[in-house]
Amino acid sequence: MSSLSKKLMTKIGFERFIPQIDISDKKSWFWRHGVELPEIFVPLWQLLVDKTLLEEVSLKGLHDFLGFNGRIFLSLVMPDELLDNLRFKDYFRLVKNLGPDATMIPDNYTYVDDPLFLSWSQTVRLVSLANDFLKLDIPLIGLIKGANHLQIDWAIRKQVEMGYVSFAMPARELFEDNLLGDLLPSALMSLKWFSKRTRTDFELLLYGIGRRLKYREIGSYSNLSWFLEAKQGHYFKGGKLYNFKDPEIRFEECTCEACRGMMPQELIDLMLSDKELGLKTLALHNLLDMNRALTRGR
Amino acid sequence: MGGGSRVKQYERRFFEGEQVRGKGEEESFHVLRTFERYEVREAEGGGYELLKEGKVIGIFSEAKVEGGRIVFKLSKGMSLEFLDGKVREILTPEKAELCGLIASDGGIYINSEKSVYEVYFDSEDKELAELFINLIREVYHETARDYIRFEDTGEGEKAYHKPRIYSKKIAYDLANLGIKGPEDFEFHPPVAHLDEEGKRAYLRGFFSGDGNISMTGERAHSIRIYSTYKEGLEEVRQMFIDLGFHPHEIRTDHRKPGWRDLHSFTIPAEDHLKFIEEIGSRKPEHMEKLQLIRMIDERKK
Repeated sequence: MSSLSKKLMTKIGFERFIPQIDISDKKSWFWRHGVELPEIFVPLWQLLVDKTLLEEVSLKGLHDFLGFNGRIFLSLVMPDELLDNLRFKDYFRLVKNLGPDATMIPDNYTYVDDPLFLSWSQTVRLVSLANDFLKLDIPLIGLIKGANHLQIDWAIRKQVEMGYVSFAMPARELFEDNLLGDLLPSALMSLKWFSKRTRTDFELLLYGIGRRLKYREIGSYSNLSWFLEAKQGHYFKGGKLYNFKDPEIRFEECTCEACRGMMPQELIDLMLSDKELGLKTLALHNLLDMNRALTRGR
Repeated sequence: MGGGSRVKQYERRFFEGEQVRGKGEEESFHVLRTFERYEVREAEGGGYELLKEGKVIGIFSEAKVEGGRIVFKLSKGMSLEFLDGKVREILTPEKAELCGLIASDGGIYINSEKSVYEVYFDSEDKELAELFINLIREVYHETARDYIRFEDTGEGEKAYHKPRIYSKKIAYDLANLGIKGPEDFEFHPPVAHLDEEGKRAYLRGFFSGDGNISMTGERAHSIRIYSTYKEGLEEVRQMFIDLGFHPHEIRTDHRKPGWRDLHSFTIPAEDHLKFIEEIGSRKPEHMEKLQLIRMIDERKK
């Protein structure tokens, strides 16, 4: 790797909760239903698997296609097989055509049960692409990834050296594999240490997690759980997930903008009479509840 | 996207994102009980997880293991019972007793057009009115209000207690159990949601309202349960049989024109002590008489 470049960057200034949307499913386009939130994440992979959609969005740009007036952040977290097919020139072309307000640097894959040289080569690739991305003239979001503490620390250090100040940590798989409790504190420690050393204030967004964690250093959360869980008939209350039939919530009226006094039992009735409207209402309820739960006490 | 374990990444894709417990996580949970395809695990930090074929299907704060069954506490007076590989929602004894009270001298009134959602109980006994209020508080954490009406009986004023709670969630929760209505006087015990303890509690609540203890001769008493709704009364009688009692057949008294027939059955004398010990009553008048019956029966021995 040639020597790393450096660029002066300012923080993105993430909101506490930034919903992800499913660009291919308009039911997740919450702003069309009267709910206003200032920022969204759009995952690039959803476009890469649908060529027609990609062409359409590339022609119009994300803002025009979605009709969303807030800030749109492009998520480059994607399945491995898609990662392997993209070179930095492809990323540049895609980012230029889509016109997001900020983009993550390209994702990688670092598995804890792979031979170490594989995860190290992926970590080096991440840093190399982070360096290439400095040529882009839009705000950038660094990525915190690694199969162990050393890789995470090294990846953060290199990105800090390049001037990155806003970071996202893809956490869903780590959380599900019970590894987040081990790797997240070390990532926070590294950030804290570099912050002290460089006298720079960093911001961290946890990506892919639907619940609030105890670490106060986590400034923001982003996920699609509000929508995915609604499709499974799951209901959020106070940031916790419930089955619709759970008597604990079934007859509790909800005063959110979406429910307007309806209780889950009435949402079930609504789904039976008008599935689309029921799902839309439930998804919006989940979004508002998650936003409230994650922004509470800030 | 890859992070965590590569092997689990494949599993996740295969299971389409459903939560699957892995070996790493098993270390922090220990298996409390296994019921065919179900497994109950206790978490180190407190709480219990219910798994079906390795997938977490529920997380509960409290669980009670009794012999071959396990009971998880839910909210609003409900529990989840696992017995012989079968799962069902059951009523806690408090909620069962509340249902018994409502079935006897109470009711549920729902008028969604006028937004009236009322659960009520009427009694001459202050103690039963207080019991209703306490049970509502215990089950739903809400407070019913006792509206007292005074009536002139010719022998002085008599107070009638009419505790009521106006709550959509409580009204729907109880109405969904089918305990009262839709016809006037119609009631059905929620047998499918009652374990033995729940059945006893329901009968205690029901007997407190629609039970009678009377002298039938010197040193002899009759314990009688009555109702104008025969089908419901048959179900109550069947519950006594399920609990090992030997109730007499239901008899019907035809009353004056315009009055509904009154149906009743009695508990035979040999079951009186069992009734006192297992069922009992919350009505002060009944409690005194039951104490007397116990005394007489013990003297006979």
